[in-house]
Amino acid sequence: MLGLRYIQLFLVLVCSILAAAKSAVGSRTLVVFDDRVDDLSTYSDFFNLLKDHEFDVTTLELSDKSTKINLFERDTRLYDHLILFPVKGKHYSKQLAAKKLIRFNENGGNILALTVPQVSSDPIHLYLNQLGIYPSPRTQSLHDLFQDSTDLLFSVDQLENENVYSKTNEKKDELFNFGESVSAALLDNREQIVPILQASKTSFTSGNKSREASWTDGSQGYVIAGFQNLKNTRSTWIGSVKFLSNNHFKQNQDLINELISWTLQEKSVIKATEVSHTHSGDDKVSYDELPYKVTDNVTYTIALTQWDGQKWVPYVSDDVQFELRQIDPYYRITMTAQGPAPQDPASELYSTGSFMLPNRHGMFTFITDYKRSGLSYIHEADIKAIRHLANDEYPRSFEIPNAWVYLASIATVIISFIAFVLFFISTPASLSEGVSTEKKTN
Amino acid sequence: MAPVIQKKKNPASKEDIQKDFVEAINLSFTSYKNQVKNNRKLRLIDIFGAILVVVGIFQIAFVGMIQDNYPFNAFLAGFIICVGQFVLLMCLRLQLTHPFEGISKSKAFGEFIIASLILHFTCLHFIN
Repeated sequence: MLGLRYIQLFLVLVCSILAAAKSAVGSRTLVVFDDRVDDLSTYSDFFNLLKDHEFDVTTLELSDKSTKINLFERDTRLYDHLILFPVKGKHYSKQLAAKKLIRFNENGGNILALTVPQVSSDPIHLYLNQLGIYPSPRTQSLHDLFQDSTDLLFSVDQLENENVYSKTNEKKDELFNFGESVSAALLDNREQIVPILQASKTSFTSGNKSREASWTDGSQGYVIAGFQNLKNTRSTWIGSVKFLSNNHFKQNQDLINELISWTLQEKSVIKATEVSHTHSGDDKVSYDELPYKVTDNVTYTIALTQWDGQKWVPYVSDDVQFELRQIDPYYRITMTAQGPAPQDPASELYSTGSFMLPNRHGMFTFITDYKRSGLSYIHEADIKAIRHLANDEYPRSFEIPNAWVYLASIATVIISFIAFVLFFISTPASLSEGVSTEKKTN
Repeated sequence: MAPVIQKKKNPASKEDIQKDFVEAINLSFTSYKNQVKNNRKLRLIDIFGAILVVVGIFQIAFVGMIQDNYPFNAFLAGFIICVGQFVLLMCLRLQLTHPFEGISKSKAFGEFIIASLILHFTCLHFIN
């Protein structure tokens, strides 16, 4: 019995390793939906795409109140990715409270959330608000009076992030169909937010009541927005469900594909594999062998690697910077790519070249803080002490030409002092015994 | 030498003041000459003092000329040895002209030598 269970466990492990070939973090995906809002069969193309990406999809229908959603089992995450279709009702709010979603995201789970104007999915809205994405409230939907069709169309030019969707010349005149009811969001200006698809200049949101103020006007609204937290897990919000439906799938396939790749961490995932700094020179003496002192020459290197969907490959870029900080940066050096790292050919080696430490002692941070919108964040910091010169490491006075003048004056003073003393002793007190007038007065 | 007390006049005009001033300088100059004329030791002290002043001024001029005080400890050592030696020398001179009670002139000279040696020792170490 026990043996059987071990075999089972082993099989599950092997399966998960094979399946993980696509996403850099894992493949277990949970899709939450509500039959009352949407029939899942109208999204079959989308699910086929997920299967093509080798995701291990579990679906969960929420109209039945007895369904429970467990994202964790005893602090272990059960899923790597979560896809949330709009769902109605209080039951859902309890099962998927915003707190639970945040915990899931903080523990490394990626979330793809969809909202529509007709349904108020409160927990999703609360969660997105925590991230700094503020979708339009219920009943407010996006309109564009300059478009002829009832379906809202968005062009490739409105896409903002090259790391999510790279615009090439072939895709220049592509249009994406978002269906009739689309919600737009206002975005906070925090750095973790990745704006993806901007609403057109002629668009606006409006509700049923004519007096209601619009939620977004023109290009301040966004239809797709991403968020990457400091642990590099991602969330993406899409303001329309019809965007994924079979009717528009052909038209939107490119963007859907890229969105899935980005959100579920199949691309734009980079990490640092090796960070080191040593004394300059061929023998590369490390800090542990010989601590740094002021004005030493030091070389800093870092190796970066990128997930290309199948394996780790070198990440090549020309804007990776190194900083040497003590509160303020003393150095900010753009590092040059040196080719694949000798120890690990799957990563690209970056080097600052040899640079001289500042003439200032204290605790310094050797840091690479590479944060680009849409790419995984890299923050590699190493705090090291740089010591001042010991008292026998300063140059002696006679080695400094300027000091020769002062040395000569001291010699003059001492020699003339000796001469003075000799003369003073050898001369009689007074010449003609005049013994000065002082004595008389005394 | 008896101090010369000038009679008070009404310093009404500028000429009078100028006259007084010139007179005062002349008086102190002649009294100094009288003091030094017959005393070789005092003359020796003054010559040494003049040398120290020249060396000290030369170092300051050097710093001003090159606009840099880089081996600052060296400059301080060089300058301080001049100033310190000058001060000690003036103390010796005072004791020779107005001996303190209970301290003979030769004892004063001995103290001068010891103090100077300490000063030289300190400065040599300071210049490193």
